[in-house]
Amino acid sequence: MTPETTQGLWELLEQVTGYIYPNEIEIHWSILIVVYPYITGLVAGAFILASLVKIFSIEAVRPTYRLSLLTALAFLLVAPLPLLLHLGRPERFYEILLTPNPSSAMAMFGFVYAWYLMGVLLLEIWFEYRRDLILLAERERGPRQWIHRTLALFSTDTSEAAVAFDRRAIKAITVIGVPSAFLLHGYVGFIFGSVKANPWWASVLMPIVFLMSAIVSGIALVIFLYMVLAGIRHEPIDMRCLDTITSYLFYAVIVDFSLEALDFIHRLYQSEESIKILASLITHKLFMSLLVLQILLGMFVPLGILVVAKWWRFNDDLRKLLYFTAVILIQLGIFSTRWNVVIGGQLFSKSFRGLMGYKMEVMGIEGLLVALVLLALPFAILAVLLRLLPTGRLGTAEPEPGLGSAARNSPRWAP
Amino acid sequence: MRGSGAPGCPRVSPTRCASWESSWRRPRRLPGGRHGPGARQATFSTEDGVVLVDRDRCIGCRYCIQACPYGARYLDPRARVADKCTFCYHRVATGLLPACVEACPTQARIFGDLRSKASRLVRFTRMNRIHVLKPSLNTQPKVYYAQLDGEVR
Repeated sequence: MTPETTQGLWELLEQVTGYIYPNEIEIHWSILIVVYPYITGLVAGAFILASLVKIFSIEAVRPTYRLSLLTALAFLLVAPLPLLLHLGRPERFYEILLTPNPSSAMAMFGFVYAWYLMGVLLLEIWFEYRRDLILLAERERGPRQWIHRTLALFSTDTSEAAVAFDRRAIKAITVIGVPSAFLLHGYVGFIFGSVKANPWWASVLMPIVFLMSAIVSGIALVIFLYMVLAGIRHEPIDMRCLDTITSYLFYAVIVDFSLEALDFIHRLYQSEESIKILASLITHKLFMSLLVLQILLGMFVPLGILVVAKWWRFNDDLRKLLYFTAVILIQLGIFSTRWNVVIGGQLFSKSFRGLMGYKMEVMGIEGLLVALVLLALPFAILAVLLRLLPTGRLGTAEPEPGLGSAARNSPRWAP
Repeated sequence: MRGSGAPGCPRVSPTRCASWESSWRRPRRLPGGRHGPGARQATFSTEDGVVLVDRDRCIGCRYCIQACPYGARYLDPRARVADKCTFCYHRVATGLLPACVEACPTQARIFGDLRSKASRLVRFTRMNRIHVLKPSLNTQPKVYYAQLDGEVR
């Protein structure tokens, strides 16, 4: 053991109160494991928003359909990185894929992830963009032509029958995709909810709570990106679309809050052996992140803002400002939710007699800097995707708000 | 359980890996032996019932550390893999007792074969009121305590 490790453990020991088991001084799941469910939640939420267009034919949210899909993809590509960097022996990651232990919930990650990425998201995006990629490749020269041609997998058929097949394929994939998105994030909740040794995590509601908070965060992110993108491109925002999505966001926050409240009341009423240490955990360790950031700033305040924006008939600009503030606060709240689950669940001893502390590294591989890079990376990937792929369908009569520059500059194609 | 921050003397009770077997179907394989069919996990149970970690297979995800209700597992800071008490398997395999049992000056620890009715351990469990830690979790631990103080959890 290096002197730095000893020093680090010694500092943590000073934060211990009460009685703990000897091995519990070190917090094993760090900020990276907070980032992981946060990112997968955004993926699942963004995809579910996209599915509203295809399954429930909600035309009002169509302007965000492609943006939602690309957002889901950008975040999904980054989702395994925090897990990989967190491993004690990352060079052995393939063991979990090659020789998975069927009795371990953790072992299923690779399969759930691969299914969602390749069986659902990439397929849906490909069918959605196939026609546009061919059209783009036809009018371009040089590297962009090759990129688009390759992304279209050298497909050249833009006939009515082929496009109709694309539409049917997308519909079918979405029908499979929604339960898959539920599986992806419900599974992440199950990872925590199935740890019966930890009363903060062990709850059958955990996958459902994770799922609802995922929907909340995903919708909020797409609204944020839609507004930012429109601002960057100096394009008008479709207020009908924005009002509709924020309505869904409002209901999703209500359901999410109700589920979390149910979980809380259930624990309080059951008042099991762990109730005292959990109460102590909330008051001593999670007061700021749970009560202030997650519940007050991340839930009550944005709910209030959305209610105000809906009830009072404010003008478009003020509504935009209110929505924008609400979605940023919601992101803060959902990140705090992940923090409170992951870190909070490790701050009390399994003896139920003591509390520990978490000292976040800044520069280390499991530190703040890496976490920030991982949170920024999906936006960089999304920026590249948006340069390559238009967010509006080519050949439509009017450019849709948030339409990509590639599409705006292109000639109008007959459908 | 280690006391810290509490006034007066710390309360110390011997806790160790409970080597619960309910989730580890045995036999898996012997350490150093060939990988048997189905021997897929880094944590495995030997034929004589000791739960061990295969250090060449563990990826260090630390899920097992989170799942252990007794705080018995830790991450080896050098090898970056999960580790735990092995019941001194290297000694047991050669007929010796675990080091803690051998070193205990008052014979407070008893080690033996639970399958042999004649073993000192089984006799002791018959003659004393024994308890396990966290029985409600149904982990079926193989570490028993006599006259367990209710303070110990």
